[in-house]
Amino acid sequence: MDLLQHLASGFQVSLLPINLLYCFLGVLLGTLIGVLPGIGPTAAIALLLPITFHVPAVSTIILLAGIYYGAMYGGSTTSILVNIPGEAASVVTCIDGYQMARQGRAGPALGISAFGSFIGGTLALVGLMFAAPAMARFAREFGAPEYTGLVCLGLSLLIYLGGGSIIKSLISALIGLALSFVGQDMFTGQDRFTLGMRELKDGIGLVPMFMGLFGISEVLINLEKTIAREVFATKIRQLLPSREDWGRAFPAMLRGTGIGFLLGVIPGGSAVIASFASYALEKKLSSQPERFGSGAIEGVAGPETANNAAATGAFIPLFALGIPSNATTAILLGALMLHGVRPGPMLMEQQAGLFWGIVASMYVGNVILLILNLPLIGLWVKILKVPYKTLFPLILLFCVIGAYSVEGSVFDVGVMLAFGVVGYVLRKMGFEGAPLVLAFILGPMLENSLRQSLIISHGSFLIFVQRPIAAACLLATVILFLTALVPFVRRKRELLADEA
Amino acid sequence: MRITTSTLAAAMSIFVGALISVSAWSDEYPSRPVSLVIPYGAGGAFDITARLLASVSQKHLGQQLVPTLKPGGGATIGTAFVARAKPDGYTLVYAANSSLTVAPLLEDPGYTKDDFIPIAKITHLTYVIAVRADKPWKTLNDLLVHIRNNPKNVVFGATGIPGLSTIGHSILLKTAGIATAPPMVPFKGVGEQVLSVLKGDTDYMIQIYLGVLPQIRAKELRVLAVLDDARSPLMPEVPTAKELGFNIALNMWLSVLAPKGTPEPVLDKLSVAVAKMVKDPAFVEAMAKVDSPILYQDRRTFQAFWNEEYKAYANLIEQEGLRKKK
Amino acid sequence: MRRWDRIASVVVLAFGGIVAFAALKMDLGSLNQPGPGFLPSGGACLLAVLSLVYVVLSFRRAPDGEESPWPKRHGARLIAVVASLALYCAALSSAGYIPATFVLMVILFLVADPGKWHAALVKAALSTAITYLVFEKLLMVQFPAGLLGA
Repeated sequence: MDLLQHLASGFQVSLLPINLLYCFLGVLLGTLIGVLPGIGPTAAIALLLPITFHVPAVSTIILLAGIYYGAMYGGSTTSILVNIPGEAASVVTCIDGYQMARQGRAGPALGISAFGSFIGGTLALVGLMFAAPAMARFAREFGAPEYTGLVCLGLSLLIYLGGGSIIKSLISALIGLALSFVGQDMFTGQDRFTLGMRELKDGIGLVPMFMGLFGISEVLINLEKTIAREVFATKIRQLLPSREDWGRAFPAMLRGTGIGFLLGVIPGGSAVIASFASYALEKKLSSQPERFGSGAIEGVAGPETANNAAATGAFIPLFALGIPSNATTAILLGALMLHGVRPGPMLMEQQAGLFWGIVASMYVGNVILLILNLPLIGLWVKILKVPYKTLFPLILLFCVIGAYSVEGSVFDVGVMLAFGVVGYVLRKMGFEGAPLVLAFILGPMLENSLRQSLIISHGSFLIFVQRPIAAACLLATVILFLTALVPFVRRKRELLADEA
Repeated sequence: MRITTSTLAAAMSIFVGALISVSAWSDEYPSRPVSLVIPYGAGGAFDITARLLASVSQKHLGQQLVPTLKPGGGATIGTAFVARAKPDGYTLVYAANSSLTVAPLLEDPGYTKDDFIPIAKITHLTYVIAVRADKPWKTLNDLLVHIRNNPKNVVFGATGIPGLSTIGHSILLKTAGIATAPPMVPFKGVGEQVLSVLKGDTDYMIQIYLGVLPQIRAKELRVLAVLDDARSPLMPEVPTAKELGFNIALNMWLSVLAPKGTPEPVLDKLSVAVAKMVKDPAFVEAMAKVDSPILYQDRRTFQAFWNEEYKAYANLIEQEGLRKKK
Repeated sequence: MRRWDRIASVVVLAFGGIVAFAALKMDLGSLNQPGPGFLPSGGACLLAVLSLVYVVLSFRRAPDGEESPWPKRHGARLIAVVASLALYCAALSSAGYIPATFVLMVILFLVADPGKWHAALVKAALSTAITYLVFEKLLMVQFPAGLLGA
């Protein structure tokens, strides 16, 4: 078979000792960058780019791609251990991952996210091999109205994110939406809500925001307690997921792969949304949704799988269309060009050797990542044994460096601190961070695509009905909202009836 | 944790070591690495070409140029940072006319043109006007006639508003005598813009040729005109707008500049070094691979060119009333 | 936490009101050319309406006197941490990474373990030096040089 032949030749390339070495270096560096907050894969790849001039094209891309998907493995570590998302796609992992750590189950949480990442990455590669051209056609179907539909569907996930009251989730989300308007309006160049600060022209930084909302506010909450009392249950029961954990997590991983791959392929769909969507789906399907938010392993397995599958899926528009779907794949595109590779619709035919070499190396890289990450779990868990009085100043320093290093901006450190205080107050009032962050991420996508659609359609909302993908997404949104709201309203009515 | 004198000594020695490593430097310029501030994010044309330039700097300058990303505020934050930096030759900016010419004309970005002294222009990236390959418009004139006749049924896809490409679009329509501008849809990035033209949601686009090269090579997009004085070596068959009778040259130049007040000997040293860097075979080869021509100008030629360009844009922005209200 | 809920609901309502007020002053545009105020107005009005519902809900029921959300004992510690971080932000650019971080870490470790100067100094020196070496030297994050720079 043609495909197997290609793949076999790909493995011949990727298993060359030198390429194995590059792959190993790439995923190792990626893991490190994923664990350290702030410095993302984009900056790391940009730094390494000039060093790779004298390295052959295949080896370069093997190295740089390794950093990219390796970072997705590392991102969950700090979410689980100290409630600081290493990157945006791990925000949702904080919800249940951190709770698991507090119950002494950091090991299984880290283990399941390593396995989940492996499964998501590997299965998405199978999809990449078999379905790249078809998926590329699917990606091209997405214009402004389709994004509007998709974003509305994404916003309906909010209902499943909050633990407590729906109204508080919605208010959190609307605060996130309001914050997302800060900055220059893309359509007119007009500054909005910037309070005259030039640093806010490009909007509030996502990384400082979620590091403040999650990491700093968690430290502040813990500081209220007597520090001598341990924040984490000291007894760490096991390092690896049990059979029961697997039983819950495995179906979540498979669904996460599907969601992640589909959303990864769509340019702009992104790993962040995939992780939120997977979490919401698991909670919706679960027979015990109340477990979510207090350490449900599916809530870690699904999102962690989804974000890796999305990272792999994002290679499809890059290879098949020559269109990068995020900043990191954009710089990979630059790297490809520097090595004389012309990405574009013809890459897969014209440079089959390179394409299959990279695909095969990603299988190898995922295996290396799994082998690399499992022994690390023991090491990470030890961090939790450090007394909190030593740990918390280090967590704060870690956050400060993380927020600073994204753009080398002291202003961002201030933004993080401000959101730390805001997050503290919101949590005291019973509001949660996750809906706020999701709406903050989706806000600009909603605004841009809605306004673009209306300009394209000359002001007619019919465009959302005439385009099948948009219409389907909007219909699904309405159904989701109704099914979620009906029991809520009914309960309220009963409550009122009781009171009367 | 019990602390002995030896751990204390070890800790202090690491601390002092770190202190020394930042403060050790001598007097002759350049005696330490030079920071080249890039006011954009990682991975774009700016980042890549700046890193290519930096990769050959040690040999010709005697010190490393260190690309420093300071993105934000539509490139104005990094640029303003350099305008306020100590003019000692250790902080330079790698910037474009979008932030150095257009931004100060549209609003107050915290610096003016005169806050900078050019060292050299490295390249310029030409804008092109493109449509989907299967659309009936074969020439720029076809498209303009269509826009004139159906201003409501054509849609222009744009990025970066207001900026070079939208200013160029206004000039084009004006030169062609088109009074009603078609609706304009802004996109966040080139990718979305290209996809919308390919899908048919928008009909034509103006973009730096680098962003559309993959689709042009795959014959999915057709370039109607190159908005420059000379044809592009990458698409020699495409006419320039000038040849077609439209006096528009729209390009984004990328230059190395120093803050005002940098001593003359330092400027000389830098411009001599950069002149050598752009001729370095390694740099030349790498720039060819990223499809970016080297269009070097020394500091005086470039200053003169920049003055002219600034005046032209100032007139235009004045006429169009584009300056933002306070 | 009903009592707290009431305060929260009023704060949120005020926030929504301010955003809505600012957004409605922006250009709303038209349906075929939506302006910069189009979505912010919609979003902010929805926020205001929802917070009004929240206000009503929280005032309908009597306060049930649950635990106060204010920190009972360690308020001073919280304020010390937030204030030292705020001062750190203000001083970082001019003082530079090493001096500012060293001072910050000394304060934080002292907050954690009051009175133990010796330990705080060592831990602060170590954490400052190690992060400086790892991030600035290894990962090439460019921290502000401040007092120690040129």
